[in-house]
Amino acid sequence: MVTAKKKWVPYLFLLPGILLFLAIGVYSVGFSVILSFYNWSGIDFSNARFEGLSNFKDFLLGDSPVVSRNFYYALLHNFELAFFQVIIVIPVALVLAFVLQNTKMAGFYRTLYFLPMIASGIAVFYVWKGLFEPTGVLNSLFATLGLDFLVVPEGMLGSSSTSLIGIIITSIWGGLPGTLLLYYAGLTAVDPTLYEAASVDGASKATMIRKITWPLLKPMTLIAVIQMVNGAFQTFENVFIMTGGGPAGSTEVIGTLVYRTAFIDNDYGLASAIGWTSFLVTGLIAIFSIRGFKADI
Amino acid sequence: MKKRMYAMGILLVVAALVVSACSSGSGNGGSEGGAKKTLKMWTWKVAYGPGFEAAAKLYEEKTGIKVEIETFTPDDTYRQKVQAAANSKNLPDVIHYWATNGDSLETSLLELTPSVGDDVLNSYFGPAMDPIRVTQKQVDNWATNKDATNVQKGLKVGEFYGLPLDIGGFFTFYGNKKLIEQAGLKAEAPKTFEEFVTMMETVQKETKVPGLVFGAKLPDLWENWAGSALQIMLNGPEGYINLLERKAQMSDPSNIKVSQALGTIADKGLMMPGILSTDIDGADQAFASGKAAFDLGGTFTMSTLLAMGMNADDIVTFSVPPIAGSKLDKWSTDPFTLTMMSVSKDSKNKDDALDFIKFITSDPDAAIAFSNGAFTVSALKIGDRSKDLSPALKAMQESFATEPGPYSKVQPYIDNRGNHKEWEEYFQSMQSVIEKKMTVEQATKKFDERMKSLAASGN
Amino acid sequence: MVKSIKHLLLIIYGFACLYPFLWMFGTSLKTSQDALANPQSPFPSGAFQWSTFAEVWNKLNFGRFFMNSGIVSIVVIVGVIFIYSMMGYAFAKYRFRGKKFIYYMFIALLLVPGVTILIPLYINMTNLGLANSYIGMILPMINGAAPFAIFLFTSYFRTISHELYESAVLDGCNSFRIYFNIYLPLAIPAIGTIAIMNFIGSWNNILWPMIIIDSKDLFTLPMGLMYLDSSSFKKWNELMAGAIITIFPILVAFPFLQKMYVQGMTAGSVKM
Repeated sequence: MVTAKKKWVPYLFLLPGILLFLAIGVYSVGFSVILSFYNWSGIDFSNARFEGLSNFKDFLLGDSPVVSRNFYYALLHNFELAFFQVIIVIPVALVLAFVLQNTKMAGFYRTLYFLPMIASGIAVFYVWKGLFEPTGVLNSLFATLGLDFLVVPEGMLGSSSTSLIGIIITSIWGGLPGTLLLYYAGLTAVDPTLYEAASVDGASKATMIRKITWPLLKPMTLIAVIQMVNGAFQTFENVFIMTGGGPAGSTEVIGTLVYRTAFIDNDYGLASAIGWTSFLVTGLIAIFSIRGFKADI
Repeated sequence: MKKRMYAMGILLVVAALVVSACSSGSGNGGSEGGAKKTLKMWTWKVAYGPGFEAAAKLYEEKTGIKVEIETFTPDDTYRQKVQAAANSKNLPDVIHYWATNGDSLETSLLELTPSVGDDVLNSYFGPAMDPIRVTQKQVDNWATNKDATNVQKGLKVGEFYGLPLDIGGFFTFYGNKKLIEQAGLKAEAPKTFEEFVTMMETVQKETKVPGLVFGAKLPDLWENWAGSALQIMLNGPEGYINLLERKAQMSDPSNIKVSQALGTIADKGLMMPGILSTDIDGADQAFASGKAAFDLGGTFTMSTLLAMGMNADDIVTFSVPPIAGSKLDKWSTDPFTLTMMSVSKDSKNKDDALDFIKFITSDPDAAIAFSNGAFTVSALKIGDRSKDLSPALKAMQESFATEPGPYSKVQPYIDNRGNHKEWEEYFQSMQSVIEKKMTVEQATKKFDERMKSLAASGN
Repeated sequence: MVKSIKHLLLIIYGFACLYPFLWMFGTSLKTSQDALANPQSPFPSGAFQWSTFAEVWNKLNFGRFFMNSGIVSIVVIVGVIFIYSMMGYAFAKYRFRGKKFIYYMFIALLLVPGVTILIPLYINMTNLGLANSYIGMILPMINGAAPFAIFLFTSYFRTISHELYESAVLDGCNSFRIYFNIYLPLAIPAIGTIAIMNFIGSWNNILWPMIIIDSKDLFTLPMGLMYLDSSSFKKWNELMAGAIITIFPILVAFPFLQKMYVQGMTAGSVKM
């Protein structure tokens, strides 16, 4: 790293990005933070009414019990989404990466596994909706396999006990490939002489994984976890298209709650307050994960 | 050399900004440039497209002003779009919207009392202006409600921001004639709700086709399209108003029957599997393709079913039948305004836009052209011109009550229901009832308790 | 034995990855009645009905949507790569006042909830006169890509040996030329990763274009698809044909770039 002779040189490199941020980001972020302290029904800000922390009290402290109930349920669902994604994706991706590592057709498989990641958008959400129908593929597959207890007669998205599972499945389908490919690349990047040297020193396989492989995979795991957690807390489009938050609120997430509060109930102040609270929660989780991995970025 | 390269990079970014700033700005109507005047209009109703086009054509012939129609779907996207555009004074000249007031769009719309006289207003079907015009009751509610917005608090009695375009009603069941007859029943309207349930049971038993489908993905759909009618018939309009105004209990033996009506259908397993992930279009589609024997809809559903390839002769329609022992022994289709036409306050063509919405809502030729194209009944009293309506539409129009009925009495209270959050929870509870995860008793109890605690804490 | 279990595992997962696409394709070839009657089968029960593709394509001017999606995605990619590789270069190579603050501020943008700032962003863009325009669609997408792009470029440039920089200075290169002629070409894997990520992101983006775009001439493919969904009464075969049209280019172009994607990600994350 160097200190530029002309002090302004590094800033010049930053300039386009900063200009863009000043032109676009600052206003939207700032305005939306300010909004969270107002009662505002949208449209003309001269009609807004400053209400201090009242919006936050409404949903955090239960001043408005139903809103508060919705908020905590939504937050819980976001946590569940994040939690199940992480605990399923990380080990499965790790195992698959190990398996894939010494396979002849690795290139072919990798290409195949790449597909869900790049196509996971609105087009695929419609497909999942179709697969989850009562007479859809999942139910008939389970029925054919004799796994009748897994059949959901109402369709996975049509029952409040399984709808969130449906959402989690689609998130995992779209999210696993990225982590898998990351691990795969990490594993193949390990210098094989390290293992040889270690085995000469009489190290067990477990020790080798702990001492050589894991340190290398750790930063990747951190990135994967942060991406998944952030993704889980920003979940919106898949839920919006597949369930709209139902049935009986079973898939309501912060994203859909904010959307509904702002665009259907016209309560932009409350919506912003909820959105920024979720921002803080996500930030805290990210910081904790970074601490937890003892990695400094 | 160095400086030039920096400069170029920055120039590029700036140039991009400038170019775009100059090339856009097509938001505010298309009046500038070009000899022909053009009005821009937004709607979300794809099915109304042909109707709007037909009326716009007549208007162009009459005035030389072209009306350009842009459609945005689905509903939620449209709402979002209109609000965003209103925020930045980017609305089109003419806006087609749900017939309501108090949702804060008012700040962007033209208030019409000074410019629309009784000659126009009296030409509409009697209660057509009711949901559009600000009432004393709303003003009182907004004054005391702490969550009411400043826009709502600023509205005055009698103001209105739109003209009624079309009228219709919910509360209509559609039955598959073939399936009903296949089950050995006569395809005619049941007299009571209990009879209707038996009918569904028989059909389901004989044909193995599920009895009922409706867009239960929307938690409040059953209440809006069937439940409220059942309640109004059961204890009269006052009975429902008392519930809406927190003066009665849902679990009260006299009120609980309405929730039980849905509960019975759930208990007997008469609903199409997956109903809770089925939206309105999906329900109509399922019914049209023979996956359910009955479909809950409104007057507007028929056109959808026909467009989906059903034959009108294969469908039997009837209004929501009353629960046995109800105060009113039959539902009179008491139509209300479905949608309205408004003018943007910031439009550069306000006068023309106003003239156009008057034209499409109150000129008989335009109204008939619109009705026929959109398959919806115009809010205009067209008298003997009804002979120019398509036969199916004419039949529908004739089935409407001509006098304000019980629903018009209740409607202002229903409009206020959003402020009473116990309903939001109740709708979700009823979804749980549908999937038998909650009993009707629990759902109604929960409603009553929530109502009490909300009222006590001033919510 | 172990080997065949391994293969079985890989094949099962491969099948899970592929199946939704198979179903999408099969359904698009069904008649609309067949699609409703046999949703569980990925194959049409009768003859393949190819005509749905042409119908959908013509019904909604998908050709135009295609072009719009292409323009938006390409401009976003180019913009993101240039703007944020420069920032990444500065963060990786220079010491300067306020560096940490600026870096973390941009990284924190990653967590900003998209739905929440939708309306403020719209107001902002209309004030700039950018509503209903390509640029209005594009600029926020570029800005939204900042956190990850900056992070990846910064990490990547840090992995490049500093001696390179010193020898370039000795050769008399100025800072911009070092960046443009030496560092940027070396960052190809990172560029590839960022390009792929942002192509996917902008190609699939629906929420923002939906708000900022009014005229159908500027609709992108996902918008067209959503319009198809709400205007064609849930005809699964049409919807799936539209879905295939929407994702076809990504499916064709990107699997072959996965190697590049992985390289960039690895280099970026190893040297955090």
